[in-house]
Amino acid sequence: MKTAALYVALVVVPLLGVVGVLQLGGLVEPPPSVGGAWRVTEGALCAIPGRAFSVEQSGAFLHLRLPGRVGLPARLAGDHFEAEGGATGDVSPGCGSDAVRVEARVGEDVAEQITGRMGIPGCGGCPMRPFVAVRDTTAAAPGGLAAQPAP
Amino acid sequence: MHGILLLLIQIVVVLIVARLVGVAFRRIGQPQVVGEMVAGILLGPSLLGWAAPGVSAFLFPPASLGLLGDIALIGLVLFMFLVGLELDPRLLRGRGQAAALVSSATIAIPMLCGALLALFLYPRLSDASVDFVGFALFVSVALSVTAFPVLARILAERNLLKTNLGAVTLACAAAADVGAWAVLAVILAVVRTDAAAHPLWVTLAGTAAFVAGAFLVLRPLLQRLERLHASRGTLTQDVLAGVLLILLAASATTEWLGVHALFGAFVIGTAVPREREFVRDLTERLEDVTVVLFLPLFFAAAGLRTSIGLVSGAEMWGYAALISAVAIVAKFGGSALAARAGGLSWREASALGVLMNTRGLMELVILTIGLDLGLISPALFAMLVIMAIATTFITTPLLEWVYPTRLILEDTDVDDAPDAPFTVVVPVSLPSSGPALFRAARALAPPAGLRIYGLHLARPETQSALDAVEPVETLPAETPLGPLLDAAAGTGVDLRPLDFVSRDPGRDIADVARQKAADLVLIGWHKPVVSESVLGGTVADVLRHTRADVAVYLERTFRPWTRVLVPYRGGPHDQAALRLASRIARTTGAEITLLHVVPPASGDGAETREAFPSNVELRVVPSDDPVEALVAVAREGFDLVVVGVSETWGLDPSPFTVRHERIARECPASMLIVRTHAAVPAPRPARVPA
Repeated sequence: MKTAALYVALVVVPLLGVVGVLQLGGLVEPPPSVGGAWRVTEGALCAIPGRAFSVEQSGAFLHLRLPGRVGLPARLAGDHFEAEGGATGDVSPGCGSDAVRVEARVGEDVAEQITGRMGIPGCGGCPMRPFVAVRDTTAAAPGGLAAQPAP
Repeated sequence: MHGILLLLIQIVVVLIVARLVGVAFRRIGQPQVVGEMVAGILLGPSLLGWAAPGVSAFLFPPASLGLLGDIALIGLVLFMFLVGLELDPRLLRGRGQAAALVSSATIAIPMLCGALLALFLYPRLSDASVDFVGFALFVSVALSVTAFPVLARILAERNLLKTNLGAVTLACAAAADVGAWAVLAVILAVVRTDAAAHPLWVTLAGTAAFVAGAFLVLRPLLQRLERLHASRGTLTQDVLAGVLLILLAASATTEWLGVHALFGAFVIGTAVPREREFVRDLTERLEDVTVVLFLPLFFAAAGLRTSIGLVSGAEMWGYAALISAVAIVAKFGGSALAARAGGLSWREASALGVLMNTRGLMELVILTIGLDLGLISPALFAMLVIMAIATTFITTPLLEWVYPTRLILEDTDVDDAPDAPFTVVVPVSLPSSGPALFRAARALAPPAGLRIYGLHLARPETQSALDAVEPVETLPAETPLGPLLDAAAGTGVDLRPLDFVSRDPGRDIADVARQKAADLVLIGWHKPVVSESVLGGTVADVLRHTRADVAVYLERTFRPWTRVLVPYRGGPHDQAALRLASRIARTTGAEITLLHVVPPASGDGAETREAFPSNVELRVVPSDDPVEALVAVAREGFDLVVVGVSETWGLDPSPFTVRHERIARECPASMLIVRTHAAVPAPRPARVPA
């Protein structure tokens, strides 16, 4: 009898708890999915010569990988994110820096499109300009990072 | 670089780093596998890629990692087969309701904690491409898994395999592994179905049919192979090929079904008939190459995908710390609570909780699958890898704190026989030395009341979970104690075999001598690998730590002892040597000659001669070189030289000595080198002890 009671308390109740948590999980909203390779379809982007970039995602934490630059850390706030960095030291004449700035908005859930502005602030040759990027399902992401496999 | 050349270079680099780091971890008391896991991370972007990106890009270019990963996967298939092979159903049977409760609770409670943790992590470290149910179940499995193989080795090293605690812990770990793989198979089936060619019902029904087929169809096939093995008396290449074919076909089937090749390998391992010799031969044939070659490749492949740098900033490190804390508390608390409720003492229950936290490489295997499936992000993968290494790393020191070795030895000591008048501990390393040591022990003891403890200390890596289910009484005869037991048979001497695992033989021999209140430790000498020193290595440790007299025996001749030479200068160790020689004279009737070496200018030693009783022949030899004088006299037909340690005879038991003991090298007779614990200075020359 005692063993049965212990079994219920230590095994059955926790397993029922797992089931309950799985049900409860339906109420939790995760960040939209932006991880993977992206191809820029609109906008003349001096900051991305190859017109392709990738995003490494861990929840709300993002790392933008632009060709030839180190990753730009960013954080998703709802469906927006901003990132700045990735300076290479190769500063063009008339520019204070070559650090890239990205201000973007993503679609809901598994985002298929990113829209926003991108450029090198304070650099007349590469001002902030609008861009549109779509998910690239055919090519490996630049910078040696493969897109996360979709489950 | 050419593909195969690069692959070979990669394997060489991985093996070198894995061995070096593994050995370094072993030196600090950690399982070698923890070091090998760390080695894999060091080779990845977390260290090599960060510190030397050029070298990293040359050694491990992204395009080459696929082949390395495939080879590692083949190794994992073999490894999971061995894990299944080691899971003997006898571990689970007959442990009573308490064990069933504990083993179930050690899975259920961490799973609940894992699900709650997933609820917190999902909006922070996952995204909308991952379904919550898959994510939560995966985190639950990751927190509930226990590395059965690592655990079995830790239990073996701590001599807990045959204790009630060890048995319950192994049962729980086995149940946890089976449960974790069952849940993981469901997750794989559900998650993969989205992208796979089969509908979910085909995957689930196919998996169920596979498990049933493994035990109803493949097991009889394996039984035939086992009978073939038994009839031949050895594992032939044909039988091994048959087993491997079944294993690979099963792995291919489960991979095709969408529940991963490793699941098939694990199930086939559990389906192999549990005939001791068959399992042992299979394990011996496959384990070395798997553990030495393939596992480091897997650790490297996993390490190359582990980027600790992704865990950046206080918030991310906070999540990593939270994951490790929840994993430890859930597994420790759940296991300890259930074990206490199941009837174990608080100390044993706490030890079980600590042991069940060993996640090790099983966790790494599961995490890699989760990363492949996209269930967890690279950053969460890195956090969980940190948790896997941390929980495995803390196991050994925490266990020592909760349940010290001293207490384990006391709790497992069932030697309740009355004290014997004279007790000798005889550690045996080489089986062939057993009979000689037995003869020496009998000769050195008083006429009545001798008890001998024959001691065999096994290396940790020679033990496995299988030893937990083997009957105790069958083991000593199979160890190097066998010839010693044979020599003692029919003599009436009270000889008790002791057989346990030791990482520090010198200290453990000293501990056994203390526990058994030994009067003498008699240890054989054989040429060590890296030194010619008689009193170096383990012998030096024994001499340093033992609180009893110690005699080191070097057998040179096989003649009966009729003439015994005792070099004597009057020191306490010389007195002990003379005392033992006197016993030899009484028990064997041998003649004793006392050798006293004096400086040439000090006369003929007439005063010395008067200091000894008349039944001992005294030789006084004038010489400036006591060792040369001793060797010269020993050549005059003596069978045994009994000598106390001292610088006079070139026998200095320094722990760091590398010099050759000249006397041991040149003396033609067998030698007994004596060191007494009760070292009291005595005048020179002293009277012969009564």
